[in-house]
Amino acid sequence: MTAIDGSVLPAEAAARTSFWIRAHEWATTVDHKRLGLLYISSGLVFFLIAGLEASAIRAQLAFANNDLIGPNTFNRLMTVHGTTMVFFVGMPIFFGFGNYLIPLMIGARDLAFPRLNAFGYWLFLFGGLLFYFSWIGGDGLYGTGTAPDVGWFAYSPLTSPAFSPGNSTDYWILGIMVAGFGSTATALNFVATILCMRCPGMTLGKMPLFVWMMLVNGFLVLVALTPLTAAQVMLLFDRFLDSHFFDTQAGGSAVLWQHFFWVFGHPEVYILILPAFAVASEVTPVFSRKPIFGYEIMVAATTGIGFISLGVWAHHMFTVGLSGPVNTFFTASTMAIAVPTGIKIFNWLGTMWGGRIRLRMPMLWVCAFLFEFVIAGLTGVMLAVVPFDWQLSDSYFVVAHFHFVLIGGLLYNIFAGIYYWFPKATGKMLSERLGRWHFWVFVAGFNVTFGTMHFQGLLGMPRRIYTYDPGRGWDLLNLITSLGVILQAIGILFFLVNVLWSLRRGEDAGQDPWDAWTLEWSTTSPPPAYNFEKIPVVQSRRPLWDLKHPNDPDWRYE
Amino acid sequence: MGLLAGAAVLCATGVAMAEPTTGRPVFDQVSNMFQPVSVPAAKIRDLALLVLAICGGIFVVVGGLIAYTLIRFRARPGDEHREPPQVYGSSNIEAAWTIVPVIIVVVLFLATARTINELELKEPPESALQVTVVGHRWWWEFQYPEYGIVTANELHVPASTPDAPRPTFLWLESVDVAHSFWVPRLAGKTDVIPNRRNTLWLETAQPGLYLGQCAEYCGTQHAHMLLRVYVHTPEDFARWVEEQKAPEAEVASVAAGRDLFQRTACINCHAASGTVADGTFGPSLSHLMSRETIGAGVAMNTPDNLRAWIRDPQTMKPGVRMPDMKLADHEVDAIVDYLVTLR
Amino acid sequence: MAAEREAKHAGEGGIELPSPTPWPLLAAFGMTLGFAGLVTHPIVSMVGGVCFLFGGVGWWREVLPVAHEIEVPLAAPARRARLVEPVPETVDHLELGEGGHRMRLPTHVFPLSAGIRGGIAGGIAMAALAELYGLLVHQSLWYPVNLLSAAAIPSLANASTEQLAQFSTEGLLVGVIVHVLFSLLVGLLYAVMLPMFPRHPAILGGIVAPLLWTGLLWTSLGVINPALNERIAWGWFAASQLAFGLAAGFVVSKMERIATLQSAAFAIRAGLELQYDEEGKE
Repeated sequence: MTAIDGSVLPAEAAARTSFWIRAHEWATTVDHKRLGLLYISSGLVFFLIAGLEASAIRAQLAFANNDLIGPNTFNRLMTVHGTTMVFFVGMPIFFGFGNYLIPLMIGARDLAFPRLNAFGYWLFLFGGLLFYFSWIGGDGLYGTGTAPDVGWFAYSPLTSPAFSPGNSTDYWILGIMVAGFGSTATALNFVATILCMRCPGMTLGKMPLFVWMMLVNGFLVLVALTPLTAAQVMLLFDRFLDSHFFDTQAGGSAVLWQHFFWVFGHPEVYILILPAFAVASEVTPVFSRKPIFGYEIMVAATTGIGFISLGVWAHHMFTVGLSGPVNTFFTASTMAIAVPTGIKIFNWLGTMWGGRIRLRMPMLWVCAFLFEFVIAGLTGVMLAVVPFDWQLSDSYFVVAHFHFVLIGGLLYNIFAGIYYWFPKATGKMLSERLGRWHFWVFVAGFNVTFGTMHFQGLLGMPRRIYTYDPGRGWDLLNLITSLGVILQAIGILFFLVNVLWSLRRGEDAGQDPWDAWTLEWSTTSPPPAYNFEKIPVVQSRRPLWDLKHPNDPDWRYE
Repeated sequence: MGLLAGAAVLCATGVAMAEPTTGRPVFDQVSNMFQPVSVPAAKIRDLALLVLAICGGIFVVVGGLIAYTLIRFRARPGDEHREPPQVYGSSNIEAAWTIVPVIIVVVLFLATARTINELELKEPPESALQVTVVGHRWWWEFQYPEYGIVTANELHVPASTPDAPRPTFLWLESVDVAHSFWVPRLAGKTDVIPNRRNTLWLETAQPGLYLGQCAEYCGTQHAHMLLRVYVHTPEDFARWVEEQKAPEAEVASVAAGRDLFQRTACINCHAASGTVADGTFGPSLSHLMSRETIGAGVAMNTPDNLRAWIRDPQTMKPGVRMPDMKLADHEVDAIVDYLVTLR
Repeated sequence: MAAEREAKHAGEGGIELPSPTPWPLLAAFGMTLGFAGLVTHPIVSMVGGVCFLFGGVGWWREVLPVAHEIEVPLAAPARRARLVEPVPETVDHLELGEGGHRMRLPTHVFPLSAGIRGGIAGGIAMAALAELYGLLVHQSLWYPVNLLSAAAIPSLANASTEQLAQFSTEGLLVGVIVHVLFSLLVGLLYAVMLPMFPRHPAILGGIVAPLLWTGLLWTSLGVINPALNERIAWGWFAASQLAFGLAAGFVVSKMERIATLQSAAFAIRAGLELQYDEEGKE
């Protein structure tokens, strides 16, 4: 098959609409925009699945001594829910955003390695499918279960063959490992693209903040994901070749796994949240009608976060019984990371201050994100206070905290990003009316569910228990928590309806519906395969501002 | 927010309903970490309140700023074709909102560092009662080397009085996977990790029953790995020790049950003083009836529940390591008759 | 093939892009199957290996010796991107300052060195007063130092007054670090904040701020530093805070204010590059 003959040109594609031809086009594509959309839509599908799993968990926990779901299924659900949300929802969706937007924002035609990009996407997808195949194929030995049930951080020695016979844990290892290879490829691609393929005039100091944050993110993925893969290989050795790295029955170390996992695991939190910051840093200026406040310090804070995040992992391990000096060190580093994070929040606030804020859907989500993220950050500081953490760790307080980070921080910005760039990718606006329903119902549901969860934690309810006895002060709170899920589910329904409806009937978006300033808005919606007819030349951080205000361009001042 | 406040009030007063049915343990106690009864828990509470106050202050200020900004600087009709002044930033303000958080963080850090060191006690004080806590899937073993007592799931400790201070010092060990010992009103949690000896201490003046449970996910029945800590006055504690050390009374009428117990596989896992049973995989059954619950808190310790448990443990606690022994009804009755004599 | 491409190239002004290819998909599938064999059957691994090999070779041939490309024709003129055109929006300008509206605010600041000097001065003044208190009341130079470091050292936090009057290496080390760190940070804060409050900077920074700070500490000292809380002489404490505030405020406000380098690049403001003259700047 020769590429030229076998390929389908866009013009012909419009004429031929057979399903198989289209499927073939998408399967063989190396176009960063298509791969970006593939990433985002597969991520959203995994999101719906993991959301259903979470709903089942909350249904079980709604009442004391409920036996809707047995302990085994519950443990599998919570493991698969966590793993999916981190590895198959959070990362791919933002890889999708990066894929779609980085070349457009830096004025390039594609990523540096388009074929590697396709390889990365398919590895992620197949890794996810392999992981989910465990529900069917995990029954390696009779009665040893199906999907993994070791928790998303798979603490040893729960994963050693003695305590996890059969293959369920192997599915956890392999699914994540395969997807991880894909993530490494994509991160490499991002870094290479950003460093080498910027259009003329776009120095590092003139890159949009989105691109800056994806750059730091790319480096973080490269640095952080490799230790996880290494640790997983060691665990595979333990399980298949009888080595004893983590096998405590034979003198291995349980704490070693915890160190290895969190050396990956904490940077992972920032791998997830930096792209969310990236979206907020694009949306806030455009809808406040001002340039980002303190661009340089935002970049500095981002890199600062990148570095510090590599040195805070043991704050997940304060209860392990590390020595006082070690705990003290990790308190210091963890609190230190609150400073650059705080700077970011204040800078977004500074951007809004004095602006003329247009509260359209993307901005609404970013504003809600600011509120939720302040809460998430403050509960994070509480968790950094070691003695307080001895009470809060592994309780529902922690569950509430990281859902405020991952939903209030991450998901809100995914929504903001989708509302913001959907017109670019499809040429249609999302409905503002349905969007508002989606926003208010989901935000209300989220706060009911996860705001309440803090209190179960303060009342001593540990995480990952499949049931609890009445009378310990958790009954009502758990019921409220579970009821909030219904609201969230309705919110998500509004979102889905909105996307499907707008794809068909949405208002025409035009080239630049938000009156924005970065390069992606200078091409058509959706952009052609080649992005730009001519590679643009920029003179400032806001090239479109310069064109729109020829008398008062940015480049005079930067 | 109003809802949250309401929820908080509800919790603080512990107005949760307890239903005395189904033979499950009825808990009337809320393990609220803000009502500490022990020295370490109280120190944590004090620090926590400081942190909460500071964080609350920050939230009010920053949240207020966000809200004010949103209201004050919203685009108004007529603004469509006017752009606001394009301010790039302010080194001063940026520096200020870097320095202020640094100062707050340093203050928090100092207080944290002191409390960490204050609470860290690697060696037991002379006056302390030492107990070795061994985590099993899914129950707790408590060894009192001083007295030669081994018991399960219910930890008995003496209260500490001003003239006779008696902290309790726990050595934490695990024979299988990682667990975590957590009784919120007594102390923060510490993980119980195989191949590792962690420590935890508590010192309380207030007798009573305090609830907790395993806080590190440890497999199927992680939810039913409950902890009950009984704090006794020194006199009551001495009495409890004597009772535990006393040999079991051999009741002639249950000889059949005792024989059956010794002839079946029970003794592979369980120990019972006065018999050949010396298994260590399951909880010791010595003085079984002095405990209030069975199955690590899964049910109250009544003859009926014992019967149901022995007949089929997997129904009461699915996944528990104890198998259904396939005993005939009369055999179960005989064994239960024997067990209830273990006082 | 090459001729074909040339012909196309000559024909119209298309844009060359990497051609679609199934090989990465096949390679990824093979790799996944290869691992899946571990948990299913070795045959699966073998199939995966073969797929991976085919995918790899295909991919290899895709990019070597010459990467395959397709020429995407430009969209029809009607569907091409429009040029971005000037908008009729007016841009509001801030009234103050002369440098247009791309302001870095405020226009005049104290150099950061002022903050450091102020911090040092304040720190010395405060330490002097505290030591005076130690000598007069407790006849010990080490007493105030130990009290300060008791915030972080539990052995000092639980020490008796006599012990606190003794020399302690740990106490001295921690006390000095804490004192210097706080003096510098607060000094910097003064330098940064004072220009924002143009009226009576010395009164605000020298008196109001220390009193506020003292009040705040009064409410929370029991947790932050219980040892200090038990023994504190609030009069002396407030006096030493005032000494800091006045000294730091005085030193800072004596420094020359410098103009912020309006709209200069970060490298210039940070002193990494020389400032250059640019036309069009007022």
